[in-house]
Amino acid sequence: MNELRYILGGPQGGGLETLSELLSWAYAHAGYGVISDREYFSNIKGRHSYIHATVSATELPRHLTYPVDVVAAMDAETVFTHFDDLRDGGYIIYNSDDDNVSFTSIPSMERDLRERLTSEFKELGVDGTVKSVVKYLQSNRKVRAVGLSFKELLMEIEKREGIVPSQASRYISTILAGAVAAITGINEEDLDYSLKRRFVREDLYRHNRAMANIVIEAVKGQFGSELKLDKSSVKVPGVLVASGNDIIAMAKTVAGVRFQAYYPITPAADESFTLEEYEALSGEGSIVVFQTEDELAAINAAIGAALTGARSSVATSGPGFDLMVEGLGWAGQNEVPVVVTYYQRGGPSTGQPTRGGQSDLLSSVFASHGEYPRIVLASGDHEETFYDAIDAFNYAETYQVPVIHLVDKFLANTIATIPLPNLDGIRIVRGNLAPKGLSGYKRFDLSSVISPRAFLGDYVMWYSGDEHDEYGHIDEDPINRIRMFDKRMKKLDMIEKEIPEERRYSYFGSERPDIVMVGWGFVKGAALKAIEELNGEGIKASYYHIRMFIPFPRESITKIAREVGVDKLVAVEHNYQAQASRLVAMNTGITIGKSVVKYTGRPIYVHELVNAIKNIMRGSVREVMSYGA
Amino acid sequence: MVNENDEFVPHAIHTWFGYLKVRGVIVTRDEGAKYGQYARDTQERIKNALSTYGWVYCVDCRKPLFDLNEALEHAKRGHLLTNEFMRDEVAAEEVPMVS
Amino acid sequence: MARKLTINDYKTNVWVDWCPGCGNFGILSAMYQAFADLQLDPEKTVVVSGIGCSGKTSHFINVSGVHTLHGRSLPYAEGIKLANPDLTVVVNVGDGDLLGIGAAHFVALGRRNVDLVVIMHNNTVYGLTKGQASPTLARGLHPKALPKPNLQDAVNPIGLAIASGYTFIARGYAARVQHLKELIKKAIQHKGSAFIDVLQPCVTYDNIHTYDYYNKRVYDLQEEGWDPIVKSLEEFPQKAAQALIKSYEGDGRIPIGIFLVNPHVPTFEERYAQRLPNYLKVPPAKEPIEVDGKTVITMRRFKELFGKYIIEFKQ
Repeated sequence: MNELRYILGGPQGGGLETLSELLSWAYAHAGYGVISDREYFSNIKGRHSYIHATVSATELPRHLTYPVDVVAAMDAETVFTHFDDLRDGGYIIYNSDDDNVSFTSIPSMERDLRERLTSEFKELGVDGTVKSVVKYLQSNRKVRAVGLSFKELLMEIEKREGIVPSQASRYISTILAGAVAAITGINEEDLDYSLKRRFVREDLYRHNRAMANIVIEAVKGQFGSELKLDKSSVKVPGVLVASGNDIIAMAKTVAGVRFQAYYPITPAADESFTLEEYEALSGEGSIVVFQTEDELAAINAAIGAALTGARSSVATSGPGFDLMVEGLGWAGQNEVPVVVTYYQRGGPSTGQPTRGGQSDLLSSVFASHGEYPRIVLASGDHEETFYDAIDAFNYAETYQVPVIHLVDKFLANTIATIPLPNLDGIRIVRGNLAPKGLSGYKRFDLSSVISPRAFLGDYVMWYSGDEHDEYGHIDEDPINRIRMFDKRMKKLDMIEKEIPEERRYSYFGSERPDIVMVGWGFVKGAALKAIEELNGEGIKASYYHIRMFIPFPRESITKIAREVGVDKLVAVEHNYQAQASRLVAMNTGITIGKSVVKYTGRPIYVHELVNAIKNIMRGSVREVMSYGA
Repeated sequence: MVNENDEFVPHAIHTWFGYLKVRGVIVTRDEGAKYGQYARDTQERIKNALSTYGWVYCVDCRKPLFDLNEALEHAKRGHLLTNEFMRDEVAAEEVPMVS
Repeated sequence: MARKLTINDYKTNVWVDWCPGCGNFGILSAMYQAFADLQLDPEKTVVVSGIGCSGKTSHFINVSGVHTLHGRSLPYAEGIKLANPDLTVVVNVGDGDLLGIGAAHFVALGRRNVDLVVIMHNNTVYGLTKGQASPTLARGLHPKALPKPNLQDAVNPIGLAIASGYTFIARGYAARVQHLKELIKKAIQHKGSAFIDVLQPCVTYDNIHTYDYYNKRVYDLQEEGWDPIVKSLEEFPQKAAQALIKSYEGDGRIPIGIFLVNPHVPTFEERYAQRLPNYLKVPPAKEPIEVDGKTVITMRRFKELFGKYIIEFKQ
């Protein structure tokens, strides 16, 4: 087999992260491509959390789909929540001590799910205990049940090796890691690599090595390694195994960011933590990572730093961005190059703090009163994100505008293997910088649209949120107003002319499609895989991937609409209104009348997208997807 | 080697096991329950806990109890009650940011 | 309502999803007991909360709850109270929410002395976002969850409350529930802005300020004879200074109890009542604005009110 899909589930805080890392690093070390998504509640300890991953022997996967081959459960709640996600003939690994636990006795399960399960179990003739669900899977779905007594295993290790009590949940992670390693035939060497990587302490490594061995022996003995992947044919000299947050942090160090202000918010702040880890650039530099009291302070501090010439950014999410809106306007008015890395989560308001979405597009494009130029770009996968993050700063400084880099929780929290970036091709462009030795420096010199930029400390200059003259002083004269306003807004013309159309979009799939999916951001992974599957069914699909919203890829989308016909276009987005399609209409006059959307906070999966597209082709104009716990 | 004065504290998440403080070993909850904080002198100890902490936690039901009668009910049913849990260095690494 | 309400009446069915052992359990317990002791009418009581672990408090108490935005609980609470002063308003917020992003609103409320209670769940970290230092974590401290030691100094909440004008300032401790319950009752009964700083151990992210840590250090101010009551306006500066000095106490001693009570400041509602004679009798929420769909500002009243803008012509 060349693709493996699994779900790892358990209570938050219980060891899921460790388990996920043990497996992903083992697979990555073996040369497989991995993408691993984390779904979790806005809760610290106890609620249900799960990892959903795709491992491939032939590619670096960007897609997630159902059903999965393996469900590995740390607790009973996982069994109840995910039993239906398993394919026929798949594997369920669980704690046999939980056999008699009933789904009605799980306080952390939300009422909605409990009610749905009540009717579902009644229909299936299942009494609602773990045992009965497993039995149902075995007899009706040919599922292999790997029941392990966690108690016995834990007591065994306590006896043989001992347990470090303050690290006790690690051992639970290892039980499941061993079981999954066994049935998927992970090599000894690869598992040892990830065990050593995770358990740096000698005693922890020894204990967990022993635990893994016990489990592997028992499981392999009984079940073999039926799900062993083919040898990997992925040919890359090296990979980065990192989350979207980490990738962007790395990109920022390369881009020359030396000041980042932030306020902790999910799912953005992990980027700032990673940046902080490398803040001293191994002793060769300084990135000031500044935790502020709120987002108002963050954006304004970042702008302040940018005025001194430091490449400067903030990383935030919806609620935080809303607070930054006033600051954004100041940056636009004062032609300050600052980048907002905007991680979208479920909205509106507090919304779904730990779930994803793509519902902040219109907000990013329009936010802040008044009118001023900005650039908005969006990334579709981890690889794009790395280069986009760097481009963002080059654009910001070239055009002296605020830039919003849209990503999302799906990207932030999925760990993926991506090819090592090529840093040789990267340019750092600082734009029109003022020369030394000038007298009477004018920051807003009207002799060019992009005035020569000096930094605070080079010359005396002024900035003001008020309308200002060339020196930066307040000026209410109507003619000056026109000249200054035109100067700023003409940047949009320059941006339109200078940033090539090809940079603003990508097109994948058939040149003569039966259907064209129009999307952006995390839709990319699912869409590309969907094209393959639809192709297999004789449907020629393609995907138009929007990568920049200001400037907008007007020409290419217009051309495609004209060539294939508007009725073959369908918007695919993680939001209710198909926001990108509204921008298509606003920029081109083309109305995309069909939409395939998902706004549950979970990512679009390939199987539901394929289904939805087929429905659209049968005449539906709107499909709302909802798969996934 | 059994010590009658041993104290059992459960793991806060995987409540089916815990730690015996005096013996210094991990044991299953079934084994450790008799050394639980409220296994002996139940009524007196619960009363004390309710007047200082204001709550005792029912490990079986995964919820805090605030009322003496309710707590005694749970104790009578054989539920494990506690105020203290195992020290856990892992949780902080395991839990993502959630707000 | 004839039957006496018990603490069970103040509980909801919502699963309490705080970490097992959390200091918030104690604060919740104290709130249940205080509400039951005072027999608060659930329909006339509103718990306003912010963002953070403490924000979930409003869902666990069976009175009206308003779970607001990060740092903005106080403006919401003030809006609720000023539009309907008959409601009992209790705010539950975290230390980050109140003294970081919400600091401006904290100060502003002190200047107004609106009759409500602010309970701060002080656990020195931003729990839900993985344990960053909050405004009450001292410089140099390094709870295990933090990657590096804290670079920022801690603000003094009691001191800030004194300077802002709060007229009831106290500190409680989550594991001294009886004491905390009494503080909450007194705060609710106090006329004016009451602030209670509650020491709340965070069992997941703060391995420094544990139950053990606090048990060894807290002591009751009132047990040591501290008199918090300001006898006259003239006495205020001296009493305030004493309370401020007390709030900086170190040497491993953490005072809990009531620091300062100033009964000589009119509440914001009373100040409005000076200019709006009907305000307390018929507050904005209860104001009749229509009769049978017709505005109560009839043409006659309109002409009376806005006479100076009107010229009428004889036909």
